[in-house]
Amino acid sequence: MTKGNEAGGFVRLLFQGKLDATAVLPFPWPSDETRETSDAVVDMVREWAADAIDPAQIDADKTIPQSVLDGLKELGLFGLTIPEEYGGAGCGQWTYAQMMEAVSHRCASTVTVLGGHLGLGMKGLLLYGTDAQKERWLPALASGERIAAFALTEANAGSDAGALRTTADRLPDGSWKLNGRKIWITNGGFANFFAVYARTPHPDDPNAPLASRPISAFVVPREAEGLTTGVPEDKMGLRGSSTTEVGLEDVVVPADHLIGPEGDGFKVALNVLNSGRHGLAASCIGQAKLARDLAVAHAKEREQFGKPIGAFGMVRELIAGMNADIYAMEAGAWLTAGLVDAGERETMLEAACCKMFATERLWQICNDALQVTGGTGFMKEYPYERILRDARINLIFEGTNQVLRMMLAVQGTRALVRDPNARFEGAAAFSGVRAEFATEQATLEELAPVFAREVGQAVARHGKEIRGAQHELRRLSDMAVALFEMGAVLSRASTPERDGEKPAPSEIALARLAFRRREREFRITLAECAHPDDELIDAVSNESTGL
Amino acid sequence: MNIVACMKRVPTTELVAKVGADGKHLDASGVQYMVSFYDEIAVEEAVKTKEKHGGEVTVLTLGPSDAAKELRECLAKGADKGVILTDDSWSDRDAHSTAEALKAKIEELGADVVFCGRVATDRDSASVGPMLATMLGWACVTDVVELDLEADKGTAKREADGGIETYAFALPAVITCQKDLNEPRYAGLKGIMAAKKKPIDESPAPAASNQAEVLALELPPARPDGRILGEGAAAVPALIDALRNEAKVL
Ligand SMILES: Cc1cc2nc3c(=O)[nH]c(=O)nc-3n(C[C@H](O)[C@H](O)[C@H](O)COP(=O)(O)OP(=O)(O)OC[C@H]3O[C@@H](n4cnc5c(N)ncnc54)[C@H](O)[C@@H]3O)c2cc1C
Repeated sequence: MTKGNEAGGFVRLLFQGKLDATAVLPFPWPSDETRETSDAVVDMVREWAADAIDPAQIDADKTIPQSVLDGLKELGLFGLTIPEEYGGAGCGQWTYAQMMEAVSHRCASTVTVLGGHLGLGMKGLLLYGTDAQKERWLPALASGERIAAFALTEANAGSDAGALRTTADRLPDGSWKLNGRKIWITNGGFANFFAVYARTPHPDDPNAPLASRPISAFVVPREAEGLTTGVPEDKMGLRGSSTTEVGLEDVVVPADHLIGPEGDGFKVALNVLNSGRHGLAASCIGQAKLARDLAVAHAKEREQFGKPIGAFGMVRELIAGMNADIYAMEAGAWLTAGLVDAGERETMLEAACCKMFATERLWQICNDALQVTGGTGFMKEYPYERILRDARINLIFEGTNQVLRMMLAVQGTRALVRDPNARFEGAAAFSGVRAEFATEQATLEELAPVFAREVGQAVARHGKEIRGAQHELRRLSDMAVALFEMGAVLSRASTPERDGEKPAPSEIALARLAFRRREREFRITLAECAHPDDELIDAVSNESTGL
Repeated sequence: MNIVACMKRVPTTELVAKVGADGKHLDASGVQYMVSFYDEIAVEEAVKTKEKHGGEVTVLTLGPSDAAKELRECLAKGADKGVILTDDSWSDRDAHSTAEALKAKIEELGADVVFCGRVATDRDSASVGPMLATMLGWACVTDVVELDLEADKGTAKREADGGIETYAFALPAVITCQKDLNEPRYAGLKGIMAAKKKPIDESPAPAASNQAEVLALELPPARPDGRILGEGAAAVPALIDALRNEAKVL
């Protein structure tokens, strides 16, 4: 018998004790038509990127040449997800994910331009703009005549973006005057469309302190007087991507530059971020494949002790691990993209899982690729060190992985905190899985209730205070990510890409290894739950920081 | 102007060729296809001709229904419609039989100019274009590197051994395209989306009329490994010795 609240995606339901196979199975592969389009886009992007983009030069020059920006424009990529009625190509998340991967496979700095534009900068307008606002701005954004940037972060408002201090005051004629300073804004150097988040007056109390004033979202075009951008930051990675300050000094924009209802800006910002993190995961897949491809080629060529190093067991572990993890990264990101395209509305937690998983696996894959390559990989003349430097930021931006773990577990436990009975009873079933994966199916059916039990105990221990019980939140989210990926892997491996196709034996092994690696991660965290180090951690950390 | 570009799908350049069990054909399993390099130039020239003179570009291929993928690529780059002469054993046809099938379709379509690649990058026979012109009874200029068309005539420069020849000819004509003729464009997202709505017609190709038959297909012998003789100027004597006495090329 089920008692819980039926509304919720796969991950949210896991927290409430329901392993909902129907939420992820069959795998939402795209239609033939969508696949044809995305294949054509990927072929085009690969061919163009190989000719037009020199990633090492971009890294060395700390800038993306105008010719590359012009190329992105000519190919029409700035309009990929913008509806056709506004001059875009109207592609869905599947094609977006494939395109991001293809660009990223060539150059991480270049893909960041597209992420800043399509994934963040113009997204608020797309989600919350009025028809008139869309008609006004989207055609230029689709053609690339305007490139968008997302300006949320400030010096004192990073993870705690809600602490921002930029203000927007209403002038007597209804227009808005903005003042403040944003930092680390992607595309800052050349963007001419800034989505700026600022505090607007309190609806009832004109003297309300800044911190209690609501946040609203605005479009600020570059030509607005008083908008300045700083020199590009000198960064560890993504060195070609333009990251700058954005200064706003008495910048006046008309009333119709407000995006969404006044005071709803923070919701706009969070929804922009929450609705697109699988896109960042897709770009991580491109970089991971680049690292893997290079490492595999090296493992075949390089001989030591009279053998190619790829024949040694420990090198095999690294190569197989990279391949299995990439399979899982794809399963998660493509599943989420497919769910969005199928009209599924609640994908925020799935997208967060994809982002955490893909960014951390990418970092590990870069590390492993470097290990396979030995001293060669350490030399600057090879691209490994650049890939490694570029990969690192992914664990930090679009929500740090700590903040996402917090968000995932707090959101996941929310219904139970409100009502401890909001949980599903009954045996877990993950039906629809191919016979080859009977063991894995049984494992998932065993672990999902174990997870639900841990969730229940954590909620019973902390109640509402669970928001602050970060060790607990971290463990729960690690387990949730592992379960999500296990489900995604089984769903992908069980659903033919096209009717009548069967997975090759090699895919069965790949999927099985991908699954078992997640299972192991789950069980390690479960062991932590049984013997937590929380008190030791707090004592040792406090000793060190004095906090 | 009524413009036709002939296009062949060929295995991608990444192909690691394997001979099939019958010893006559490529092992087709796992082979990926693409538009033959010079046919991309033919399609580009056809589209440029349309942009200059108006009219319509039809891309014509003889192959399986799956060749729709390569045709869509051409449509994405500006061609207006695609035609497949379907034949599942398309790769068994000799140049003559292919040219004959194309000729019949071109006569049906009506054309002022037909563009072909100078050679298909798989078979390397460079014969279909000139055979097609002969069967149609049209002028033919091969290996064209520069082209100037007017309503009913044209001039073309072609690469001859060690020099450039310039020809004048009357339309209709068949032009086979060399690599310097143009730089094929990228389709762009707009082109890809527009291509979805463009028509691709399929009709069965006339029965093959091969005049030559493949007896055997063999891979070239594996190349022996290279050898590094040394570095810089110090290696030159050893290199000269090897070139003179081992390779016997000096
Ligand atoms: C290259 C680059 C591009 C960027 N592009 C943009 C952009 O286009 N637009 C934009 O608005 N911003 C952008 N940013 C800013 C980015 O989003 C922030 O850096 C990010 O949100 C983290 O904020 P922070 O750097 O201030 O770190 P902090 O918030 O100071 O975090 C530092 C550490 O503390 C941890 N931490 C913080 N709070 C908590 C908590 N409550 N619980 C547990 N751990 C916590 C974090 O996880 C992190 O490990 C960009 C940053 C970079 C480096």
